[in-house]
Amino acid sequence: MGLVRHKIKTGIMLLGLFVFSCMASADAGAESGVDFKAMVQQDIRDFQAYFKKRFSSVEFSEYKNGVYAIDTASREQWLEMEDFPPYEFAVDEGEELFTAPFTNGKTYTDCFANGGEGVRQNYPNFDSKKGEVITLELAINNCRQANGEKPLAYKKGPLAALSAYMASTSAGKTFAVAVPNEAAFQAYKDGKKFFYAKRGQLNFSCADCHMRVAGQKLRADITSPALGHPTGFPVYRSKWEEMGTLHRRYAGCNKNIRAKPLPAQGRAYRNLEYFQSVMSNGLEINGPSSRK
Amino acid sequence: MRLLQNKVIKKVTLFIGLLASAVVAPCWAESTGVEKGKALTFDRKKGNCLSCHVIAGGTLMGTTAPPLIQMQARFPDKEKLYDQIWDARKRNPNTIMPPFGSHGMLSNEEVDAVVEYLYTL
Amino acid sequence: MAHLRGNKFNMPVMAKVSGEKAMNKCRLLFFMVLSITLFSSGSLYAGAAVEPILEDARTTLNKAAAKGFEWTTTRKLIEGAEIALAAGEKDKSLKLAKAALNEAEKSLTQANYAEAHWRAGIPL
Repeated sequence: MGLVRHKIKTGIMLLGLFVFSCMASADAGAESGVDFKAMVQQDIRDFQAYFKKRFSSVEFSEYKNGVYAIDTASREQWLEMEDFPPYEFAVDEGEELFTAPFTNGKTYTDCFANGGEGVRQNYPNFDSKKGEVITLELAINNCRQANGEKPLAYKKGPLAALSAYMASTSAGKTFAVAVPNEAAFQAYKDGKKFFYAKRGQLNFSCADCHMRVAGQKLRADITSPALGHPTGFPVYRSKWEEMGTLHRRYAGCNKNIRAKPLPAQGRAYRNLEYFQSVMSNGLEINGPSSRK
Repeated sequence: MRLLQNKVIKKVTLFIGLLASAVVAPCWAESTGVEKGKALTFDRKKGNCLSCHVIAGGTLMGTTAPPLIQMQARFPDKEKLYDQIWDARKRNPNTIMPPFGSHGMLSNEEVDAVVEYLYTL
Repeated sequence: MAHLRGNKFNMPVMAKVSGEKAMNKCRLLFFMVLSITLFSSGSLYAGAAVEPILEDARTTLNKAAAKGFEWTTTRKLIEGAEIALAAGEKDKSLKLAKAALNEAEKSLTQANYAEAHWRAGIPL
């Protein structure tokens, strides 16, 4: 009798285990089938809420101004600098480059929607055919190569000028970077992983400095909030005494934590930019801008 | 008599000399340890502790981590302070503090020296 | 030669019985003494030990680099060890090679940790 009861008990347990494992695998199926759009939306809400909580008096729209959104002391100096913008020359240079025809007679306007005017907010975007993230800078070089021109260097110089000009024609438009499909979601997740993973000899993640201790002093400098990081790029940086792209800044940031920088416009940095731009959805494009 | 006196004086002098060297030598060693530790703590390429911590006598100090005060009271066990500098992940895997020893930024002796210095704060 | 050997080891019988055996013993002793002096001096030992450590450091670093987790400091240590080795500064090169290997291992550990635990870094 006792043995039978025991057997029944075991049977019920096994059945339970079976049902549970079915449910678990169904759940895993949902994970791969994924409502990734809802997950991205949730990420955006959580990310923006984090900063709302950290800096309750700072308006959401202010995050386009980087560290100056949260640091009143350096904001004054910055506003003065913006009175005579040091990036003005780059915008002029970029306009000249943008309108100058390639050797085949075509121009950049032939490569971009709306002739390349006011399109900055749509970058980066996910190219489903190529299966990769296309940033504005990559699109510029793709355009050059499609027209038989040599690609430009990615961190500074003419490419930064072109990017500056194209951003300037998009002033006031808001970031609207989409994650349209599962392949895009993988790229987004890859960027997210980069953002939260500790790296370099100092063992810092992007989030360590730009979320957890954002607004605190590192030596004399205040770390900027990650929300809004891409909006103002390219930037004229006083430290550089010239223009630089977002990926130049990424490389500098990586060097600071003693992590070997990855290639500008390589997949890793493009995916990071993708993630950061999605997090900044809803903020205005205000590049080019100036930074310390 | 005089000879005896001389002998006693000699013995006393010797004793004082020995005593002095016994006391001074470790003191001297300790103070150089502290000096060395302070230098490592302030050095941007070594500890660079000021980047995140406020320390008495420092300039351009960070505020991302707690000020380094009353270290003996906060870390009565020297070993724990050593561990915290060597690899703070031992206490908290998600800490922001860099693992100075594990990641090869400071050697054993250097972490020891930093601990000696921090104990004076 | 045989006479000398017999005298020195005071084993004339053995020498007579088997000169070859004693000769071997002599050789063995000589090499033992030689190897002890060489290896205990440290520097030659260091020279022999540097290359495998450096090789290990290089392969480990390349693994970390492939995952995007190379540090800016490690390759400099390897180069420093190579230069010191070429200049005959064996202790220095051993020290640098060991430091390079430590960094390479730690950066690979970091890469693997990131892969498994990156979500722990989300402060939400």
